[in-house]
Amino acid sequence: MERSASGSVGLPSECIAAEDEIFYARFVAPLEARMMRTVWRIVREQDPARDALQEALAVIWKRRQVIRSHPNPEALIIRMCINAAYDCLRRMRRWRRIETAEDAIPADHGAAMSHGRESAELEVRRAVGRLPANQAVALLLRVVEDQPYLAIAAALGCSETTARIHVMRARHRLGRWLAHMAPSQRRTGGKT
Amino acid sequence: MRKRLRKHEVYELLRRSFAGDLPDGVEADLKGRFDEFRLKLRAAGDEGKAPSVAGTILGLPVPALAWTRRRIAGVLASLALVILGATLQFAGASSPLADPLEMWQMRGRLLSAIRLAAGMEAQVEVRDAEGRYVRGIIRWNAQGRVTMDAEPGDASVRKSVETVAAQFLPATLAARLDAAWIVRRRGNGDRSWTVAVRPSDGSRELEVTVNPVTTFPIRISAAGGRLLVNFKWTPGARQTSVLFR
Repeated sequence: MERSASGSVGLPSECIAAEDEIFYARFVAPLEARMMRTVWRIVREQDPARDALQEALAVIWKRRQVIRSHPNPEALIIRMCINAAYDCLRRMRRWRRIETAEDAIPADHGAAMSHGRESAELEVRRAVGRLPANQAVALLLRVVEDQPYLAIAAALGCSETTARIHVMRARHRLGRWLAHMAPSQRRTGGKT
Repeated sequence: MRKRLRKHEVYELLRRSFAGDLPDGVEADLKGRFDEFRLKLRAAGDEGKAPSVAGTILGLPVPALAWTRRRIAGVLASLALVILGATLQFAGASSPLADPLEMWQMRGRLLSAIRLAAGMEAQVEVRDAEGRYVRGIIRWNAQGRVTMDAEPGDASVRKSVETVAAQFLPATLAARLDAAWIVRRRGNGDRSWTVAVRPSDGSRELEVTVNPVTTFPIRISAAGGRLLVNFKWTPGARQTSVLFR
Protein backbone atom coordinates (compact mmCIF):
# COMPACT_ATOMS: atom_id res chain seq x y z
CA MET A 1 0.00 0.00 0.00
CA GLU A 2 1.29 3.40 -0.92
CA ARG A 3 1.82 5.75 1.96
CA SER A 4 1.15 9.45 1.79
CA ALA A 5 3.94 11.93 2.22
CA SER A 6 1.95 14.26 4.42
CA GLY A 7 0.63 11.52 6.60
CA SER A 8 3.84 9.61 6.88
CA VAL A 9 4.83 10.58 10.42
CA GLY A 10 7.57 8.28 11.49
CA LEU A 11 9.19 7.92 8.10
CA PRO A 12 12.72 9.20 7.88
CA SER A 13 13.38 12.05 5.48
CA GLU A 14 15.09 9.76 2.98
CA CYS A 15 11.87 7.77 2.63
CA ILE A 16 9.85 10.92 2.09
CA ALA A 17 12.29 12.22 -0.47
CA ALA A 18 12.17 8.86 -2.21
CA GLU A 19 8.40 8.90 -2.10
CA ASP A 20 8.31 12.36 -3.65
CA GLU A 21 10.75 11.28 -6.30
CA ILE A 22 8.58 8.30 -7.12
CA PHE A 23 5.54 10.51 -7.44
CA TYR A 24 7.40 12.89 -9.69
CA ALA A 25 8.87 10.13 -11.82
CA ARG A 26 5.56 8.33 -12.12
CA PHE A 27 3.11 11.15 -12.72
CA VAL A 28 4.89 14.35 -13.72
CA ALA A 29 8.03 13.34 -15.61
CA PRO A 30 6.22 11.49 -18.42
CA LEU A 31 4.02 14.54 -19.00
CA GLU A 32 6.71 17.21 -18.91
CA ALA A 33 6.81 17.77 -22.67
CA ARG A 34 3.06 17.71 -22.97
CA MET A 35 2.61 20.11 -20.07
CA MET A 36 5.06 22.56 -21.61
CA ARG A 37 3.40 22.33 -24.99
CA THR A 38 -0.08 22.77 -23.56
CA VAL A 39 0.85 25.82 -21.57
CA TRP A 40 2.74 27.33 -24.47
CA ARG A 41 -0.05 26.82 -26.98
CA ILE A 42 -2.49 28.71 -24.78
CA VAL A 43 -0.27 31.48 -23.48
CA ARG A 44 2.18 32.03 -26.36
CA GLU A 45 4.48 34.31 -24.39
CA GLN A 46 7.60 33.18 -22.63
CA ASP A 47 7.36 34.86 -19.24
CA PRO A 48 3.65 34.23 -18.69
CA ALA A 49 4.17 30.62 -19.85
CA ARG A 50 6.87 30.19 -17.24
CA ASP A 51 4.61 31.63 -14.55
CA ALA A 52 1.70 29.46 -15.62
CA LEU A 53 3.83 26.33 -15.58
CA GLN A 54 5.11 27.16 -12.13
CA GLU A 55 1.59 27.69 -10.84
CA ALA A 56 0.52 24.42 -12.38
CA LEU A 57 3.42 22.58 -10.73
CA ALA A 58 2.56 24.11 -7.36
CA VAL A 59 -1.06 23.02 -7.69
CA ILE A 60 0.01 19.54 -8.79
CA TRP A 61 2.20 19.26 -5.73
CA LYS A 62 -0.47 20.46 -3.36
CA ARG A 63 -2.98 18.01 -4.79
CA ARG A 64 -0.67 15.05 -5.23
CA GLN A 65 -2.85 12.87 -3.02
CA VAL A 66 -5.79 13.50 -5.31
CA ILE A 67 -3.67 12.81 -8.37
CA ARG A 68 -2.46 9.51 -6.93
CA SER A 69 -5.97 8.23 -6.43
CA HIS A 70 -7.50 9.78 -9.53
CA PRO A 71 -8.87 7.44 -12.21
CA ASN A 72 -7.21 9.52 -14.95
CA PRO A 73 -4.22 11.34 -13.46
CA GLU A 74 -2.89 12.39 -16.85
CA ALA A 75 -6.06 14.25 -17.75
CA LEU A 76 -6.15 15.82 -14.31
CA ILE A 77 -2.58 17.09 -14.59
CA ILE A 78 -3.23 18.47 -18.07
CA ARG A 79 -6.36 20.10 -16.76
CA MET A 80 -4.32 21.78 -14.01
CA CYS A 81 -1.93 23.06 -16.66
CA ILE A 82 -4.79 24.34 -18.78
CA ASN A 83 -6.36 25.97 -15.73
CA ALA A 84 -3.13 27.75 -14.89
CA ALA A 85 -2.63 28.82 -18.51
CA TYR A 86 -6.23 29.98 -18.73
CA ASP A 87 -5.85 32.03 -15.55
CA CYS A 88 -2.71 33.50 -17.05
CA LEU A 89 -4.58 34.29 -20.27
CA ARG A 90 -7.26 36.14 -18.32
CA ARG A 91 -4.67 38.05 -16.34
CA MET A 92 -2.90 39.07 -19.52
CA ARG A 93 -6.21 40.25 -20.96
CA ARG A 94 -6.84 42.37 -17.87
CA TRP A 95 -3.36 43.86 -17.94
CA ARG A 96 -3.65 44.79 -21.59
CA ARG A 97 -7.05 46.32 -21.01
CA ILE A 98 -5.58 48.47 -18.27
CA GLU A 99 -2.49 49.39 -20.27
CA THR A 100 -4.28 50.34 -23.47
CA ALA A 101 -7.96 51.05 -23.39
CA GLU A 102 -8.32 50.45 -27.12
CA ASP A 103 -7.18 46.86 -26.68
CA ALA A 104 -10.19 46.07 -24.57
CA ILE A 105 -12.60 43.56 -26.08
CA PRO A 106 -16.04 45.14 -26.27
CA ALA A 107 -18.74 43.67 -24.10
CA ASP A 108 -21.26 43.25 -26.96
CA HIS A 109 -20.04 39.75 -27.75
CA GLY A 110 -17.71 40.53 -30.54
CA ALA A 111 -20.05 42.55 -32.72
CA ALA A 112 -17.55 45.33 -32.88
CA MET A 113 -14.51 43.25 -32.09
CA SER A 114 -11.53 45.07 -33.43
CA HIS A 115 -9.23 43.34 -35.85
CA GLY A 116 -6.58 44.47 -38.22
CA ARG A 117 -3.86 45.19 -35.70
CA GLU A 118 -4.23 41.95 -33.88
CA SER A 119 -3.90 38.62 -35.52
CA ALA A 120 -6.86 36.28 -35.75
CA GLU A 121 -5.13 33.79 -33.48
CA LEU A 122 -4.69 36.33 -30.77
CA GLU A 123 -8.32 37.27 -31.07
CA VAL A 124 -9.39 33.65 -30.71
CA ARG A 125 -7.22 33.17 -27.65
CA ARG A 126 -8.66 36.27 -26.07
CA ALA A 127 -12.16 35.06 -26.80
CA VAL A 128 -11.32 31.77 -25.08
CA GLY A 129 -10.08 33.81 -22.15
CA ARG A 130 -13.54 35.33 -21.84
CA LEU A 131 -15.26 31.97 -21.51
CA PRO A 132 -16.28 30.65 -18.09
CA ALA A 133 -13.51 28.53 -16.61
CA ASN A 134 -15.18 25.12 -16.90
CA GLN A 135 -16.19 25.72 -20.51
CA ALA A 136 -12.77 27.01 -21.49
CA VAL A 137 -10.95 24.11 -19.85
CA ALA A 138 -13.31 21.53 -21.36
CA LEU A 139 -13.00 23.06 -24.81
CA LEU A 140 -9.21 23.28 -24.64
CA LEU A 141 -8.93 19.71 -23.42
CA ARG A 142 -11.10 18.65 -26.32
CA VAL A 143 -9.60 20.77 -29.08
CA VAL A 144 -5.99 21.33 -28.08
CA GLU A 145 -5.34 18.04 -26.32
CA ASP A 146 -7.75 15.84 -28.30
CA GLN A 147 -8.97 14.24 -25.10
CA PRO A 148 -12.07 12.01 -25.24
CA TYR A 149 -15.12 13.23 -23.38
CA LEU A 150 -14.71 10.53 -20.77
CA ALA A 151 -11.25 11.83 -19.88
CA ILE A 152 -12.51 15.43 -19.87
CA ALA A 153 -15.29 14.41 -17.50
CA ALA A 154 -12.80 12.67 -15.22
CA ALA A 155 -10.53 15.71 -15.25
CA LEU A 156 -13.36 18.12 -14.50
CA GLY A 157 -14.97 15.84 -11.96
CA CYS A 158 -18.32 15.79 -13.71
CA SER A 159 -20.34 13.42 -15.85
CA GLU A 160 -19.60 12.84 -19.49
CA THR A 161 -22.85 14.56 -20.45
CA THR A 162 -21.89 17.65 -18.49
CA ALA A 163 -18.50 17.69 -20.18
CA ARG A 164 -20.20 17.56 -23.57
CA ILE A 165 -22.50 20.40 -22.57
CA HIS A 166 -19.53 22.51 -21.44
CA VAL A 167 -17.81 22.00 -24.78
CA MET A 168 -20.99 22.68 -26.73
CA ARG A 169 -21.76 25.90 -24.87
CA ALA A 170 -18.19 27.10 -25.27
CA ARG A 171 -18.35 26.34 -28.97
CA HIS A 172 -21.64 28.19 -29.37
CA ARG A 173 -20.33 31.23 -27.56
CA LEU A 174 -17.15 31.31 -29.59
CA GLY A 175 -19.21 30.84 -32.76
CA ARG A 176 -21.21 33.95 -31.88
CA TRP A 177 -18.28 36.04 -30.73
CA LEU A 178 -16.10 35.14 -33.71
CA ALA A 179 -18.83 35.27 -36.35
CA HIS A 180 -17.07 38.11 -38.10
CA MET A 181 -14.18 35.75 -38.75
CA ALA A 182 -16.22 33.41 -40.96
CA PRO A 183 -14.28 32.49 -44.13
CA SER A 184 -16.47 34.55 -46.48
CA GLN A 185 -16.41 37.52 -44.10
CA ARG A 186 -12.68 37.34 -43.83
CA ARG A 187 -12.30 37.36 -47.60
CA THR A 188 -14.53 40.38 -48.05
CA GLY A 189 -13.05 42.02 -44.99
CA GLY A 190 -9.59 41.65 -46.44
CA LYS A 191 -10.51 43.46 -49.62
CA THR A 192 -12.26 46.39 -48.02
CA MET B 1 -23.27 38.95 -41.98
CA ARG B 2 -23.59 35.54 -40.39
CA LYS B 3 -24.67 35.33 -36.82
CA ARG B 4 -22.41 32.49 -35.82
CA LEU B 5 -19.69 30.18 -37.02
CA ARG B 6 -20.35 26.56 -37.76
CA LYS B 7 -18.95 23.82 -35.52
CA HIS B 8 -16.12 22.83 -37.85
CA GLU B 9 -15.22 26.50 -38.41
CA VAL B 10 -14.88 27.09 -34.69
CA TYR B 11 -12.74 23.99 -34.30
CA GLU B 12 -10.59 25.00 -37.26
CA LEU B 13 -10.03 28.45 -35.78
CA LEU B 14 -9.22 26.97 -32.41
CA ARG B 15 -6.82 24.37 -33.79
CA ARG B 16 -5.06 27.01 -35.84
CA SER B 17 -4.84 29.38 -32.86
CA PHE B 18 -3.64 26.77 -30.41
CA ALA B 19 -1.32 24.90 -32.74
CA GLY B 20 2.41 25.11 -32.96
CA ASP B 21 5.39 23.68 -31.14
CA LEU B 22 7.57 25.21 -28.54
CA PRO B 23 10.40 27.41 -29.75
CA ASP B 24 13.78 26.06 -28.65
CA GLY B 25 14.57 28.87 -26.25
CA VAL B 26 11.22 28.60 -24.55
CA GLU B 27 11.49 24.84 -24.25
CA ALA B 28 14.84 25.09 -22.49
CA ASP B 29 13.46 27.78 -20.21
CA LEU B 30 10.42 25.75 -19.23
CA LYS B 31 12.54 22.63 -18.71
CA GLY B 32 14.67 24.66 -16.35
CA ARG B 33 11.48 25.43 -14.45
CA PHE B 34 10.86 21.71 -13.95
CA ASP B 35 14.39 21.22 -12.63
CA GLU B 36 14.01 24.15 -10.29
CA PHE B 37 10.73 22.73 -9.07
CA ARG B 38 12.36 19.40 -8.26
CA LEU B 39 15.08 21.15 -6.29
CA LYS B 40 12.55 23.17 -4.32
CA LEU B 41 10.60 20.06 -3.71
CA ARG B 42 13.56 18.34 -2.12
CA ALA B 43 14.29 21.40 0.00
CA ALA B 44 10.67 21.56 1.12
CA GLY B 45 10.79 17.89 2.05
CA ASP B 46 13.79 18.49 4.26
CA GLU B 47 12.52 21.69 5.86
CA GLY B 48 8.80 21.37 6.25
CA LYS B 49 8.28 17.77 7.20
CA ALA B 50 8.07 16.99 10.90
CA PRO B 51 10.10 13.80 11.12
CA SER B 52 13.72 14.34 10.36
CA VAL B 53 15.69 12.62 13.11
CA ALA B 54 14.24 9.92 15.30
CA GLY B 55 15.11 10.04 18.99
CA THR B 56 13.75 10.12 22.51
CA ILE B 57 12.73 12.86 24.92
CA LEU B 58 12.41 11.87 28.60
CA GLY B 59 12.70 8.28 27.56
CA LEU B 60 9.74 8.45 25.19
CA PRO B 61 10.26 7.75 21.51
CA VAL B 62 9.80 10.89 19.45
CA PRO B 63 9.93 10.45 15.71
CA ALA B 64 10.28 14.16 15.02
CA LEU B 65 13.00 15.18 17.38
CA ALA B 66 14.16 18.27 15.53
CA TRP B 67 10.57 19.36 14.98
CA THR B 68 9.75 18.86 18.66
CA ARG B 69 12.88 20.71 19.70
CA ARG B 70 11.90 23.69 17.58
CA ARG B 71 8.46 23.77 19.16
CA ILE B 72 9.86 23.44 22.68
CA ALA B 73 12.22 26.32 21.92
CA GLY B 74 9.25 28.38 20.75
CA VAL B 75 7.27 27.66 23.93
CA LEU B 76 10.26 28.49 26.14
CA ALA B 77 10.81 31.75 24.27
CA SER B 78 7.14 32.67 24.77
CA LEU B 79 7.35 31.93 28.50
CA ALA B 80 10.52 33.98 28.76
CA LEU B 81 8.77 36.92 27.12
CA VAL B 82 5.84 36.63 29.55
CA ILE B 83 8.19 36.55 32.54
CA LEU B 84 10.13 39.49 31.16
CA GLY B 85 6.92 41.46 30.66
CA ALA B 86 5.76 40.76 34.21
CA THR B 87 9.15 41.74 35.61
CA LEU B 88 9.11 44.99 33.71
CA GLN B 89 5.58 45.65 34.90
CA PHE B 90 6.57 45.29 38.55
CA ALA B 91 9.76 47.21 38.01
CA GLY B 92 7.74 50.02 36.45
CA ALA B 93 5.61 50.33 39.61
CA SER B 94 8.60 51.57 41.60
CA SER B 95 10.15 53.66 38.90
CA PRO B 96 9.97 57.47 38.86
CA LEU B 97 7.61 57.22 35.93
CA ALA B 98 5.09 55.39 38.06
CA ASP B 99 4.25 58.35 40.26
CA PRO B 100 2.74 60.61 37.63
CA LEU B 101 0.90 57.57 36.37
CA GLU B 102 -0.49 56.85 39.78
CA MET B 103 -1.55 60.45 40.17
CA TRP B 104 -3.17 60.37 36.78
CA GLN B 105 -5.19 57.31 37.77
CA MET B 106 -6.15 58.94 41.02
CA ARG B 107 -7.27 61.98 39.14
CA GLY B 108 -9.70 59.99 37.04
CA ARG B 109 -11.13 58.17 40.01
CA LEU B 110 -11.26 61.19 42.17
CA LEU B 111 -13.21 63.01 39.51
CA SER B 112 -16.01 60.47 39.71
CA ALA B 113 -15.98 60.53 43.47
CA ILE B 114 -16.17 64.28 43.54
CA ARG B 115 -19.05 64.39 41.16
CA LEU B 116 -20.96 61.94 43.26
CA ALA B 117 -20.20 63.56 46.51
CA ALA B 118 -20.51 67.13 45.41
CA GLY B 119 -21.51 69.36 48.25
CA MET B 120 -20.44 66.90 50.88
CA GLU B 121 -17.27 65.52 52.23
CA ALA B 122 -15.40 62.50 51.13
CA GLN B 123 -12.92 60.24 52.75
CA VAL B 124 -10.18 59.55 50.30
CA GLU B 125 -7.09 57.49 50.32
CA VAL B 126 -4.37 58.44 47.89
CA ARG B 127 -0.92 57.18 47.26
CA ASP B 128 1.91 59.63 47.56
CA ALA B 129 5.10 59.84 45.56
CA GLU B 130 6.90 57.49 47.90
CA GLY B 131 4.27 54.83 47.64
CA ARG B 132 2.65 55.50 51.02
CA TYR B 133 -1.08 55.65 51.36
CA VAL B 134 -2.41 58.86 52.82
CA ARG B 135 -5.92 58.96 54.17
CA GLY B 136 -7.84 62.13 54.39
CA ILE B 137 -11.10 64.00 54.01
CA ILE B 138 -12.02 66.35 51.20
CA ARG B 139 -14.46 69.07 51.97
CA TRP B 140 -16.28 71.55 49.82
CA ASN B 141 -17.56 74.77 51.12
CA ALA B 142 -20.38 76.86 49.77
CA GLN B 143 -18.04 78.88 47.65
CA GLY B 144 -16.84 75.77 45.89
CA ARG B 145 -13.46 75.77 47.54
CA VAL B 146 -11.88 72.39 48.04
CA THR B 147 -9.79 71.59 51.03
CA MET B 148 -8.30 68.38 52.19
CA ASP B 149 -7.39 67.28 55.66
CA ALA B 150 -4.89 64.56 55.33
CA GLU B 151 -3.15 62.29 57.77
CA PRO B 152 -0.26 62.41 58.26
CA GLY B 153 -0.71 65.65 56.40
CA ASP B 154 1.58 65.35 53.46
CA ALA B 155 1.45 68.81 51.96
CA SER B 156 2.28 67.81 48.42
CA VAL B 157 -0.40 65.14 48.28
CA ARG B 158 -2.93 67.45 49.82
CA LYS B 159 -2.15 70.13 47.32
CA SER B 160 -2.40 67.71 44.40
CA VAL B 161 -5.76 66.40 45.51
CA GLU B 162 -7.10 69.87 46.08
CA THR B 163 -5.93 71.01 42.68
CA VAL B 164 -7.43 68.06 40.91
CA ALA B 165 -10.69 68.31 42.79
CA ALA B 166 -11.07 72.03 42.29
CA GLN B 167 -10.46 71.70 38.61
CA PHE B 168 -13.42 69.44 38.09
CA LEU B 169 -15.85 70.56 40.73
CA PRO B 170 -18.58 72.91 39.61
CA ALA B 171 -18.80 75.61 42.25
CA THR B 172 -22.51 76.15 41.91
CA LEU B 173 -23.19 72.48 42.35
CA ALA B 174 -21.12 72.35 45.47
CA ALA B 175 -23.04 75.23 46.94
CA ARG B 176 -26.41 73.68 46.41
CA LEU B 177 -25.81 70.05 47.24
CA ASP B 178 -25.26 70.38 50.94
CA ALA B 179 -27.03 67.11 51.50
CA ALA B 180 -28.20 64.46 49.14
CA TRP B 181 -29.81 61.09 48.86
CA ILE B 182 -29.40 58.55 46.24
CA VAL B 183 -32.89 58.17 44.92
CA ARG B 184 -32.46 55.53 42.29
CA ARG B 185 -29.92 53.54 40.51
CA ARG B 186 -30.21 51.82 37.24
CA GLY B 187 -28.06 49.20 35.58
CA ASN B 188 -27.67 49.55 31.84
CA GLY B 189 -26.71 46.97 29.31
CA ASP B 190 -23.11 48.11 29.39
CA ARG B 191 -22.97 47.49 33.15
CA SER B 192 -22.84 51.20 33.89
CA TRP B 193 -24.78 52.66 36.80
CA THR B 194 -26.82 55.76 36.75
CA VAL B 195 -27.03 57.23 40.21
CA ALA B 196 -29.39 60.05 40.87
CA VAL B 197 -28.49 62.33 43.74
CA ARG B 198 -31.09 64.75 45.03
CA PRO B 199 -30.26 67.52 47.43
CA SER B 200 -32.23 67.89 50.63
CA ASP B 201 -34.00 71.01 49.49
CA GLY B 202 -35.26 69.19 46.38
CA SER B 203 -34.09 71.93 44.11
CA ARG B 204 -32.49 69.73 41.50
CA GLU B 205 -31.48 66.24 40.78
CA LEU B 206 -28.08 65.20 39.61
CA GLU B 207 -27.56 62.09 37.59
CA VAL B 208 -24.15 60.54 37.52
CA THR B 209 -23.24 57.62 35.34
CA VAL B 210 -20.46 55.42 36.57
CA ASN B 211 -19.14 52.60 34.49
CA PRO B 212 -17.57 50.07 36.83
CA VAL B 213 -15.61 48.54 33.99
CA THR B 214 -13.90 51.67 32.81
CA THR B 215 -13.75 53.52 36.09
CA PHE B 216 -13.89 51.36 39.19
CA PRO B 217 -16.21 49.02 41.03
CA ILE B 218 -18.90 50.74 43.00
CA ARG B 219 -20.98 49.41 45.84
CA ILE B 220 -23.89 51.29 47.32
CA SER B 221 -25.44 50.37 50.63
CA ALA B 222 -27.52 51.93 53.38
CA ALA B 223 -26.30 52.12 56.96
CA GLY B 224 -27.89 53.94 59.87
CA GLY B 225 -29.84 56.40 57.77
CA ARG B 226 -26.84 57.17 55.64
CA LEU B 227 -25.97 55.94 52.21
CA LEU B 228 -22.47 54.72 51.69
CA VAL B 229 -20.84 54.66 48.32
CA ASN B 230 -17.71 52.59 48.31
CA PHE B 231 -15.22 52.92 45.54
CA LYS B 232 -12.43 50.53 44.98
CA TRP B 233 -9.48 52.40 43.75
CA THR B 234 -7.39 49.58 42.54
CA PRO B 235 -7.73 45.85 42.22
CA GLY B 236 -6.20 45.67 45.70
CA ALA B 237 -8.02 46.10 48.98
CA ARG B 238 -7.73 49.89 49.08
CA GLN B 239 -10.99 51.68 48.94
CA THR B 240 -12.51 55.04 49.48
CA SER B 241 -15.77 55.76 51.16
CA VAL B 242 -17.84 58.76 50.33
CA LEU B 243 -20.34 59.50 53.02
CA PHE B 244 -23.66 60.99 52.10
CA ARG B 245 -25.06 62.72 55.08
